[in-house]
Amino acid sequence: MNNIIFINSDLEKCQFINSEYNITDNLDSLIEQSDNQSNLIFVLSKQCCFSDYLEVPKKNKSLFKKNAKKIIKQDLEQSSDDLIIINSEHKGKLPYTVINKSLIIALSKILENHKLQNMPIYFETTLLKSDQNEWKFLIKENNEINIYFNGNIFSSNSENLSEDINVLFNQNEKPNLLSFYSLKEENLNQDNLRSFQSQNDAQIEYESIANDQSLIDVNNAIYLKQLLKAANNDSSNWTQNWKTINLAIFSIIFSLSSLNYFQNSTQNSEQLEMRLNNLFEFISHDENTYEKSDLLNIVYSIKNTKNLPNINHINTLNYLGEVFGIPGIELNQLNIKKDDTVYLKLHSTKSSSISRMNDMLQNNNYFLSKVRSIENISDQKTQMEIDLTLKEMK
Amino acid sequence: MMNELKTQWAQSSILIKIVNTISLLLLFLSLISFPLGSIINKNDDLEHELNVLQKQLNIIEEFDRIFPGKWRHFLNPQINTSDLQSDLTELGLSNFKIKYENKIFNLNGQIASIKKLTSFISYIYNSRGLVIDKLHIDVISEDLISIDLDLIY
Repeated sequence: MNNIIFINSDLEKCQFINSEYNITDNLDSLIEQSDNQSNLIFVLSKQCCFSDYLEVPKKNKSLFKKNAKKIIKQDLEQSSDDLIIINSEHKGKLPYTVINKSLIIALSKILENHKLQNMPIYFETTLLKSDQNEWKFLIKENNEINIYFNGNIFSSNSENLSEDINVLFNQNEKPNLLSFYSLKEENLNQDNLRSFQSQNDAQIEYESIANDQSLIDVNNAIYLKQLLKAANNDSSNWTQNWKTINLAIFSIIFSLSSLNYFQNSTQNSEQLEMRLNNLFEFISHDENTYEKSDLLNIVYSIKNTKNLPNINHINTLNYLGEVFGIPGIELNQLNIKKDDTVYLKLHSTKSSSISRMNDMLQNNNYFLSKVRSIENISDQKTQMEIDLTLKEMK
Repeated sequence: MMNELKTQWAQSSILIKIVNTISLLLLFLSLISFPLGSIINKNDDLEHELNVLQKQLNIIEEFDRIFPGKWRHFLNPQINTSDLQSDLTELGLSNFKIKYENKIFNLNGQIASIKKLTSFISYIYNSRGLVIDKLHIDVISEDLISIDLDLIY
């Protein structure tokens, strides 16, 4: 004898059904109360999931299947917590089921607690297999009847059944066989259904699925592992989990920036070190090699050279040679004074030399001159005294 | 808030947990890489060192413009009178008298030519770093020149 548990979206109000009794309680208690847990059949009621199918086009089938979830999402007002499970294609139709993820997680915890996580789970919407030739009717409690036709489900009740079937017959091709099943044998009240039979040509069968599990379409069974995997791998999860995406993007950007900063810093450091070394190499072009402390000592010594003249008088001597190196001009006295002025006493032995010297005194780049005296000391010799001041060199 | 985070963490998939863990790890590494980079690279120290060196070189360069090469002598001990005397002897100018007063070497004597004098001054500048402070030349005859030279270090 099979025990069927109809799982509702409210796990506190699930139904335990077998041929003898019908109990409504929370799922955990129902499982505990069951004498033989291995004979339990778990059915996700149509209240907690939604099933339908997509017509698969003849062309671009794989692309269509790839985008099936997007198409379903467009058609449905799906909540962020819903999971879409797409089944395999059957006769040009792609069946799918939409189910709440939180329900799957809650269900998994309960089943795992009872070590029933490997039990198959059926969807009420696809519990019985139907096609064009055979329509199936599942008679439930409270006169509710599920009509399984052409892979679809239609909910009716015993009062309106005839009318509903006629509407469905008008919309679809009439089947050859109408099979009536019930969860409890007593619900198969043939008297109630006889009137229906008289109105239809179709052959009618009556059976109870409580005693014969083979009536259930096992192909539509799904396992908890598959549901959890689908929930975890659901790509929409990514878009829903904006915190994770934001954190990942932020951490990537931040780490790239820090990497860039580190690389630049290292590069800058290398360049600075290279520049420092180059500077040391540049100033160490003679035989000596200088250390940092050497340069500090040199700078200290330079700052303490206040007694040095403002002019390097080796240059002064060179300039004097350049300006007064005139044939016929002889040096008699030279005095480079402390105040950096120069006194010269010159003798000229040629008259032409004086005019050349005059030119040089006026046109040279180094000295401002003041002729102190010119005196003929003999017939051929003229003595000149000149004061020189160095021009400011640029 | 912590409870909410714990619940969210428990409900999230393994992949999301991995992504979150890697993201947090990356963030942590990035955060510590900033101070770590500064410590490892010591750029501030190097920049400061370079600035100091640059300033020192500017001072040396300015001094070198007036007295080329003299700055190198500041690393050697200052010349004393006996060293100067031995230099003069070596150059055949042993007749020069040397006086050292107020950090100035006064050299007094005779020399044969101006050329010899300039060679001596160049030598003493390049090898000892001594520069002319005062110079008095009196040409007595063609091959006798009286020199009174003050040199300063």
